[in-house]
Amino acid sequence: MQKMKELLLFQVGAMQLGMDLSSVRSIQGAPGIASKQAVKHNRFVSTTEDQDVLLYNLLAILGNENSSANSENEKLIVVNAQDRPVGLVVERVDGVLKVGNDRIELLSPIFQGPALSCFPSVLKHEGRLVLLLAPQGMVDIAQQRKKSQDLRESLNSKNKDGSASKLKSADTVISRDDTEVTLDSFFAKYDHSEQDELPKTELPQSNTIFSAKEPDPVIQQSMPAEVVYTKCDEIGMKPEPHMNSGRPK
Amino acid sequence: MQKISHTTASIQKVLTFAVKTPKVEDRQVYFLFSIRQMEDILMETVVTPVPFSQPYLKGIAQWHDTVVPVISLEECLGLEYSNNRKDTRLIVARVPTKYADQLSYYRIMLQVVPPIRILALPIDCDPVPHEWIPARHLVRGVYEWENKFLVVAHMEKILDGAIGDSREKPTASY
Repeated sequence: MQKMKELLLFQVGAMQLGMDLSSVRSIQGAPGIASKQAVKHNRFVSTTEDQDVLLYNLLAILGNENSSANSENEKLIVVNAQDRPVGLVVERVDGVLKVGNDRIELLSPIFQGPALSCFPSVLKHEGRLVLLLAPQGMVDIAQQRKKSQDLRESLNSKNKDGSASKLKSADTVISRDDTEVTLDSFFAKYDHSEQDELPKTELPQSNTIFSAKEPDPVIQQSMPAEVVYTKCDEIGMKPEPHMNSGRPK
Repeated sequence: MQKISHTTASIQKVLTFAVKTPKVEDRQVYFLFSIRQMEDILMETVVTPVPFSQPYLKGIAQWHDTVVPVISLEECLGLEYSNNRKDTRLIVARVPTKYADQLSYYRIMLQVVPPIRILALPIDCDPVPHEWIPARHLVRGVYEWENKFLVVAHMEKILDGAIGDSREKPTASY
């Protein structure tokens, strides 16, 4: 019997991407989240579940930061990466698709490097190809990018002042109210809960579409009924029976 | 480097198409492939770009239920790329590979602009130096033919990742 896999499909700019549903912890409505700070800083801190998560704006990372057609549909997908939850800001969530493993192919090794680590596999779906995102690969790229940006800014600052300015931390985490903290201190919070709390921004809980506290099989079971508000007609997908049942009233 | 007519006696036909680069020494440049390397020519195929890939990798496309990478051979060889035509075609080329002593084929798609010509061998051509090609190690040879240059790319090396090893690596801009 052929193995099946559940994939979450979502939109980032002009691209439709997918992700293994088992790596998804929660999905929240986050209208307008990709604008303003995200364009400048690429990520910030928010409280989404019972803990802080680092947010990565996929629109900015994939170079589509100005292409968000409708910020009202923006979603925050919380996934597991680096043994910690991270949030991926996407333009729209399209829904869940259950496919056989034969519809998924590994990306050609000719791509190498970050392209391959970020998109290791491809879904063949109704004559289209959908790149499947590996969250860890995307986080690695975002972190490298941030380091490069910080280094450039530091060098520019140094050149402008004519003196060595203090090197800004490569992994600065920036909250929505522009408060800056270092990544080290941010992550230290997970190990030392008695440390000072970071500024937090609560997302409206009413926007929560799907939430699973632990990344276990429960996610797989609860997902179709909760997440699937799929706009099947928008993406040309044939709604499967379980999808319709999950459409929000 | 020897004359094509000597080295490819068993090949009956070859296929040529223009290299989308400015003329070299006032001569148009063409790529030359054995027709046995070619599997299909496609007019309209959706190419899905892959973020963070090298510029010569244009994306992926589906061919007969197989996902195939699409490359620009010009950019792969480091040639100046100039194309304002929209009537591009995709040629599906196969490159032999050996896995567990079994011959199999790896496929890639090449973006080309018409016309695509088929020539019967032998053709009267002579090998010429090709210092003007930045990634010379990815070229089997360049031949002079009827006031044109014919470039034979080394597809096995291209697929083996020789590009990343031997050419200047792109700066990490991501």
